[in-house]
Formats: sequence, structure tokens, C-alpha cells
Amino acid sequence: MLKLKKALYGLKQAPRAWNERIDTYFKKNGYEQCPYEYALYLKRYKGDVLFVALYVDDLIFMGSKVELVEEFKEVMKKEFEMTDLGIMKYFLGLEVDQSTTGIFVSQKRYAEELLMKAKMSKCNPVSTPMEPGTKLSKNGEGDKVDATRYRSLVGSLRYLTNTRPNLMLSVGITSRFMEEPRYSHWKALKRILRYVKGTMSFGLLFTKSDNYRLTGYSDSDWCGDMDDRKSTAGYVFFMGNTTFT
Amino acid sequence: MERYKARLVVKGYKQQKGIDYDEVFAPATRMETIRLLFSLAAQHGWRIQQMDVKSAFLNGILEEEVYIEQGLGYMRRGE
Repeated sequence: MLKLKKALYGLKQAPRAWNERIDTYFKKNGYEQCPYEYALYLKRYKGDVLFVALYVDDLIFMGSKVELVEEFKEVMKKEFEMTDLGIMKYFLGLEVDQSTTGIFVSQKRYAEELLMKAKMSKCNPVSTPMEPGTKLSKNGEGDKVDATRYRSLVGSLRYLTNTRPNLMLSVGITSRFMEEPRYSHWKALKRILRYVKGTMSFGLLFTKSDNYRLTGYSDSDWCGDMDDRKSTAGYVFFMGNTTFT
Repeated sequence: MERYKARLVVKGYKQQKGIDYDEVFAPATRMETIRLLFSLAAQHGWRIQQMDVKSAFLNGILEEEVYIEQGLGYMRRGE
């Protein structure tokens, strides 16, 4: 029997133990933790600011002064064993392109892999993700389809909405039928994938705005659900020119 | 072949809650927050950079007492 002094891979508490370690480090060194987002830290300097976001063992960070960011890197490399990946280009399947025009974020590679998984790499593209006025019901038409495959594709499409918010509604509708998908639902799902095929390189472009503030819109249908008469509500929030949620 | 990679792991599935571990949650940044950071960076002309921690989970400090057994096949002859 051996007693562990430090965490090891495979331990249930290993991620938590790691987080404890880095969280303590940040708090000891003058970083404030965001009260609404525990993985986000901020350090204020006179008139300047540094943001650090944590994703388990990945760190993304930025600041109002280049020197601050460089100093942060040096300090972190001393404290932890780290790999410097430079300018953020690829993160959790997001392809990030930072240029003078702005920041463009897309999931082209992810979309390609998804179509491959669906065996639809060579399908014919369509220009909309769902036919207007589509009404789907739980006891939909047609035979039952492979639920595992259906759920897996819906799940992947859901991840694609990270940079493709316009897919939210149609993907949301198909995910209502995950319990017992039928052919009519399957057809709707395939249609979204055909739309993805034609819009692979779409993404979000974040640009500088003269009117940088939070703007929100919402809408609702009136008892649109055929099964339980529930309404579907939608919302979109912009910060300046680009939607973020 | 460039190099061999191996990693020592623990059979975490044998651990029991309340005995071998208490809290397992570790926060990760939500995608909404990451998009908000993109927006902020674009607005101010900041460059976002990225780093990752090598073997992050080996850096964790344990609060619980955890004991492990060595795997078979690693004993020295005669022990």
C-alpha cells in the first residue's frame, strides 16, 4: 500500500485537486475571481486589466497591455510546467482567426468531421436548416429510427451551435424527439446537416463597434408545440455588432 | 517512431464517495463567456493568447488520504 501525496491521473478528485491548486495561486497573487463565472479571473493594474479564463488545463488570456500579458506568461511558466501556444488559434474545436478586421471564429473542421460521421460528406446542400412552417410531433410519422445515432448527431449539432447560433432553433426542435425519434424527425435532422454542408465556413465575426453595448431581442411563438401546447421562446444578445448568446 | 508515451494511472472507478473523495467538480469556462471574451478583445484590439499546463493532474494537492497498490508485474524478483 502506498499513500499518495499528490493527485494522479484517473483519480476521481484529480481535476478538482488541480483546480484547487491553480485557484489558490491566482487568489494569492492578486487576481479577482468572477462571481458569476468561477473559471474567469481578472487582475487590475492602474488603468490596465488582465483576463484569464480557465478550461481545466487550458488557459486563455488577454490584457490591455502587451507587457502585462508577456509578464503573465513568464510568471506562469515558472510556477507551473506550461506549453506556450502563442496567439489563440484552435481551442476546443473552435478555429480562431485574429486579424486587424476582427476575430473570426468558426468550426469548419468540426463540421467536416460531423458530416463524415453522418456519412453525408457528399450530400446536396440546401439553403435553409428547416423548411418554413415545419410542424413535428412526438408521435411523428414513419417508423422508429436508430435512437443512439439520432442522439449522437443532435449532440454534435448542438456543439456546432457554439459558432452557429442560427442553427439553435432547428437543432432545438430536433432534440425534442431524442426519446423516440421517428423517420419524420430523422428527415428534419438530415436537412440541418445538408444546410451545414452548404455553410461549412460560416462562423462569428467579432468586430469593433462604435456602439459597444449590450442589446437583447426576444420572441415567442404562441403555443407552437403540437404535443403539449407549450410556447417556444427565443432570445439573442449582442455585445456591439456580434451576438454572443 | 519518435518517442514512447506512457502514463501512470489509478483505478478511479474503485473509489467511493465520502471515503476516498468528497468533491470532484472543477469549473470550466462556459462558451458564452469565451464568446464574450472574443467580443471584448475585438472591441479593444487585444490579442488572445493560449497556454496549457503539462500534466496538470499531477500538480493537484490532495485533501483526502488516498492509498494505492502497485500494479502486478512491477515487483523485483524475490520481493
